[in-house]
Amino acid sequence: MDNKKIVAGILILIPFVAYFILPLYNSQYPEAFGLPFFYWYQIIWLPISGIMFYIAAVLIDRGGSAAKGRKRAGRPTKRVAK
Amino acid sequence: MINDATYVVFVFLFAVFIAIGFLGKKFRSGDLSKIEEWSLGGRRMGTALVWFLVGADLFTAYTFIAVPSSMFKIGALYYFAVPYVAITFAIAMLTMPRLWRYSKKRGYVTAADFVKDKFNSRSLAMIIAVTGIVAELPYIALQVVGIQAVLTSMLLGVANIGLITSAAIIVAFIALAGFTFVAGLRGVTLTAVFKDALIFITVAAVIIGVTVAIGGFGHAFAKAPTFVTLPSKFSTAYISLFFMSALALYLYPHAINGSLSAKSAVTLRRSQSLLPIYALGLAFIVLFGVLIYGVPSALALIKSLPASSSGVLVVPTLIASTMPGWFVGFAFLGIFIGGLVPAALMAIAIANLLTRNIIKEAKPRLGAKLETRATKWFAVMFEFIALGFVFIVPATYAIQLQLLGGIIILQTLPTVFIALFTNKLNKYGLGFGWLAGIISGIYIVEAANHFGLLSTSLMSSPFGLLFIGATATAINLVIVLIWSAISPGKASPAFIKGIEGA
Repeated sequence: MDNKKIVAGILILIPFVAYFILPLYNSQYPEAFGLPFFYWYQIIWLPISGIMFYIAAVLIDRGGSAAKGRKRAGRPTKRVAK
Repeated sequence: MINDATYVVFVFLFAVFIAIGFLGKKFRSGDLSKIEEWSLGGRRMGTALVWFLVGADLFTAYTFIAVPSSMFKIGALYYFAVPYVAITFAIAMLTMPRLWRYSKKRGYVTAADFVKDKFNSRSLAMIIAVTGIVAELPYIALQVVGIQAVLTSMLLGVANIGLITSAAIIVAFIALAGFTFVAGLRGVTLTAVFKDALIFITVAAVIIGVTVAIGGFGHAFAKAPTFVTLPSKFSTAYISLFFMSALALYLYPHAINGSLSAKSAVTLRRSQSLLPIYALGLAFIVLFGVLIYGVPSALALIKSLPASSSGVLVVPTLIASTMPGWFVGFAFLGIFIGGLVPAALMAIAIANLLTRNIIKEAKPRLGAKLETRATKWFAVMFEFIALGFVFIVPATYAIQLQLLGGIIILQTLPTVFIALFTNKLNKYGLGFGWLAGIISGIYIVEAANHFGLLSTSLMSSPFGLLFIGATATAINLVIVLIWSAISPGKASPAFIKGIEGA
């Protein structure tokens, strides 16, 4: 597995961790615009998740198409070798 | 406030909606007698359109009506909808592009097509198709419940309200069936963009308007002090609900159908990765269930209604009591078509399952043209079955069935999702895992509700309250994994050869 995919995996995992640590964000303070922390914490993680997932998506497909390119380039030589 | 302007705006925008639906036929036009053209829009939808289509069809009238109502009644537990929609798209961007690639190469239209091809098993494919249809039908019915709620709010106090509401819903469904039949997925996609525009404007206007008018969220929370945080007894329930719901969403036929309409796997992955941002609208609309505590007139109106209907009327009541008449028409139409658009996609998705994975198994010689024609008629049929369902059985039953639907659809997870990544699953193990998951899921739900009316999907466990979908899926997975470890399965040679050849 190449580095790009590992970075993508970590970027995808971070929002899961952010939402799984419920006891850490299940509190009233600090409030923002009158919203308890419990709510606004989960709201701001929506755009952050979107951005992280998007970067991960770009990394996954770049990694994927590069690997495909290598494979394709490799095929004819293999056939010649046979 | 509701006045003549409300009705004028509502009816006018509804006419625009229907026109857009029919015009969809001409959009990136193709031969609509082909199944891939009619039900997948020719697999030609770009990043933005998939974003709107998938987004629009996941955040439905039911979401906009039921989640805030539950929030209003029960509190912070129902905020699980927010982490759920955030992480469901991570699951989507890992699974759906792969399914898309296989589908493009092997000509699949449904998840059951993939299962049939991969495992060379018609019975397993049928199991997946039937599970999809059974889980999806109450979901469509609930869209009708959402639509009813909007009309009830709009016509409150009018004589013969029941009759007028029913007539209006029937007219709306005839129009909907018309453009579904004529334009297929293209009509659904274009109307989804229109619907999203209305919904986003509504959410922004209400959030800003109401919070300013009542002097900030703090004021509403001060009136509902138990809503400020999640009671700690619900911790495991919260996590299991959002995680399992996130796994379930992309097993629903409509989510898969929408995904397969993308023009490429890359487009699909990018568009899904950005959908958590779309969910901001949902995050705020759920808060309507708290905001209403800060608006005394709306709260008084809700409390004056019978408990059976007050539940679904939180959002429409809040909008009607805080916004000017013309804007209420605008917002109500947004929620109204927020039910119709997903209902159309759901009907298309399960019509595909019925024709391709059930009827075609009995009549394999069904030609391509006949297959498309049958699918179109089945889509119309399902729309009317869902409609009839709501008229015949009370809304509370639809909600209960939907609750079971989520647990049932999760049982297709090993066969659809895990099978995307490994060839080692044993098809008999998958079948028995599914059966055990379905039986245990239904039994535990019944037991948790003391074999009476279904009101909860939570069970007590050594860790605390737990979503029953998690337990049933765990039982299913254990059977599938042990069975496949002892006797690994094999993907069909045709499938392996087919996905390797470009």
